[in-house]
Amino acid sequence: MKLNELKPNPGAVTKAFSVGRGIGSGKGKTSGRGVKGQKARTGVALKGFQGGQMPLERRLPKVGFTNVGRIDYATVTLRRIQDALDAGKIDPKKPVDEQALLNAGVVRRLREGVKVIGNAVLTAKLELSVTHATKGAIAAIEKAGGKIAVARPDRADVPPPPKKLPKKNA
Amino acid sequence: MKIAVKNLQNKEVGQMDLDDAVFAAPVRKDVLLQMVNYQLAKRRAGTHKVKGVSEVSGTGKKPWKQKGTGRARFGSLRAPQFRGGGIIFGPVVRSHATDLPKRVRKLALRTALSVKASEGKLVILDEAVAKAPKTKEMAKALSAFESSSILVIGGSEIDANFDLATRNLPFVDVLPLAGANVYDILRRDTLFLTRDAVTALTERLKTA
Repeated sequence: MKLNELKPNPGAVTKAFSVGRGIGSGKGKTSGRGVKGQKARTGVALKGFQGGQMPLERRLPKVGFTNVGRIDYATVTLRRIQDALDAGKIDPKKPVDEQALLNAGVVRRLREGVKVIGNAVLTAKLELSVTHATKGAIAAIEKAGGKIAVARPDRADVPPPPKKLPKKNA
Repeated sequence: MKIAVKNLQNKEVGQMDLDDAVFAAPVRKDVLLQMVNYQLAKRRAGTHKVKGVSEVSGTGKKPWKQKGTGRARFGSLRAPQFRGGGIIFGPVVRSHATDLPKRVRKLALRTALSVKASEGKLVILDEAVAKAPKTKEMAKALSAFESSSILVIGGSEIDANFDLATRNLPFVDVLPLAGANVYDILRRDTLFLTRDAVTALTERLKTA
């Protein structure tokens, strides 16, 4: 076999559509775009236009906000940690930190920290150190005889910021 | 699959077992074509360039006022319709490389080796070594194989004398093991592999 004998499988290559090549081609005048003018150009976004009525997305009031303080946790359930234990990917004898969870494939990327949730029954005593955990998860880990260190505890455990005094001459 | 091992004089000196997974794979012409296109595209330098409207030299000043001159209205004398103007959609410096999955590239190399084996254009050499760096002697020796063009794939290092002796021979290429590639294999008529190359390539390619 030589270089000039190579070819793709039959049927693998479709010929490019040729448009704007006369009436006989069937794709002559408007080249399959339906109309002439603005709508025949690329990049035209008339799709959101609802005939002149106030569009639905502008008729309804705005709702909600984006929480700038939100922490983007990589969430992991106790069930997945247990599965990794069963598969031998986590060594229960060593302390398990976030990097160990990443190496075991329990979390794919660490984001801003790992949050442990769930209340599955663990079979091993684990010594976890993560960023955050729910109360149920902490209870489940301690019930199995393990320990958990949480770098960023629940917001309810943190004392709230001092309240602003009300203005006197309101 | 058994195959004869030969020395550089085309004399049989032994036998060798070839792994069917590597040397008797089904012939996938389409995969070979994809691989060759990938290689040729990847090696392009991509050093081509023309200047667009914003890049050609000259002022961007409006040449004359919009109304009252009796002349056509223009905003710039470097627009693409002018002599000396910019080029629209011209070539720019870029990489022409395309992606091809590693497994497909491996499959392509297996296929190329298998094609040469099935056509009887595969020769297993005992070793690719020359006693002296003499092109004349090497040409005489290789003429025993009666092949129009040859690619020799040696071990991880090529013998210095062998390299020098073949360097000036037309239609004879020599590659070290790491250089084994589909395009060069298909470009030459006969493929010569040393024993070491066969072992190493089999090891590298036997699994997908």
